[in-house]
Amino acid sequence: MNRFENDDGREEQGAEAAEGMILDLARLRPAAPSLALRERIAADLAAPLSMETTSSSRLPTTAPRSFAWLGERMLWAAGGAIAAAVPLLLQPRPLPAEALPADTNRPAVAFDQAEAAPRGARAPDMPAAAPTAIAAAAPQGVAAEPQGVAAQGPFAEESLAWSDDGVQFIDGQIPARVIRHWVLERFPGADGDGLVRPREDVFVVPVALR
Amino acid sequence: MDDPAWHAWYDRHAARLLLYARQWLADRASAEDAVQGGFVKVWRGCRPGETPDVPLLYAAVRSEALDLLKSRARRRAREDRFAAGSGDAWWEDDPLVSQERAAAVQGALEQLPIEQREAIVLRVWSGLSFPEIARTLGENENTVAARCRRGLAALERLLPEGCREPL
Repeated sequence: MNRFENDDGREEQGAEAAEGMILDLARLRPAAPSLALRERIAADLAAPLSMETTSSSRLPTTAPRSFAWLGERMLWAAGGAIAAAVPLLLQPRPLPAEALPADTNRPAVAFDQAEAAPRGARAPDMPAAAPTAIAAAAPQGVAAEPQGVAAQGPFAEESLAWSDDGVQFIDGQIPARVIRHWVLERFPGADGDGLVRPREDVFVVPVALR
Repeated sequence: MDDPAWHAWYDRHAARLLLYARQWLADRASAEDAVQGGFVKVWRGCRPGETPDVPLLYAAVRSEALDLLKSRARRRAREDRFAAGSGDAWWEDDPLVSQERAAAVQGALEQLPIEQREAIVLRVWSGLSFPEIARTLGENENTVAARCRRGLAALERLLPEGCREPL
């Protein structure tokens, strides 16, 4: 379609005039480029691709530019992620798992044992529950402690946490409120370093349901 | 890769490509940069014994010219705009053609919208067919034909009264 036609394919009335104008204008010959342009192109074509060209500034590089925006955005995103992660990494780590009770929601344990070996009310900061009887369960792992250490008794205790398990029925009949207390015991060691172990106290407080 | 074949191609197309590049880049040096970049890119993409596709060559020069125009837009915005009377003629001196009319044609072309101007340049001085122009610009054939038609009509109106006669 070298003729001037409109979208319907109908030939314009002035098509011949336009063609005549094209021929008329074509008599103007475009100015030739400078002699240096041929030499520059010859140098570029002779040079290997990696060493192109007379100057890198002369040939705009489109390929790297097309991905530059992506790299810049990914850099910003990575920076943001790092900035968010740094405070998390700098936070103080929690106590080791062995120094804390494994499960604060597990059911009351060893009621019989607790009642058989009461230690008495020896927790002054225990929640006020008007206890009529207080029992403590022997902490797990006591049997594995070094001989002679338990006999001496702890020289220091550190209260770790309280847990109220709520009212439970002992033997399915006696309602009682079960309260747990975790304590970190410190024993003097033979070598002077001392030992540290956790202890779990279970307080069983009989209650009257109205 | 100093293939002598490119010299023949250069002789045939360089002046036309330069005129085409000057539709975006007013100064001759920048337009030559665009021609250099486009020509080298296209010729490098050719296999031995193969000649470049003409619309692709013009499209490459157009792309280079636009890139150069963008990169220099901020610091040379005013310079790169088309300014009649810059003294840098687009045409060869030809004793058979009135210099006054040649300058008038250049001045009138510079006033046309770029879409019409590039269509006219490709049609008139590059000798491309409308399908080839459409491939160069990535447009519909009817679209480029309409642009060319409207551009020629506008060009005729823009030419001074004494310059409307045939060259």
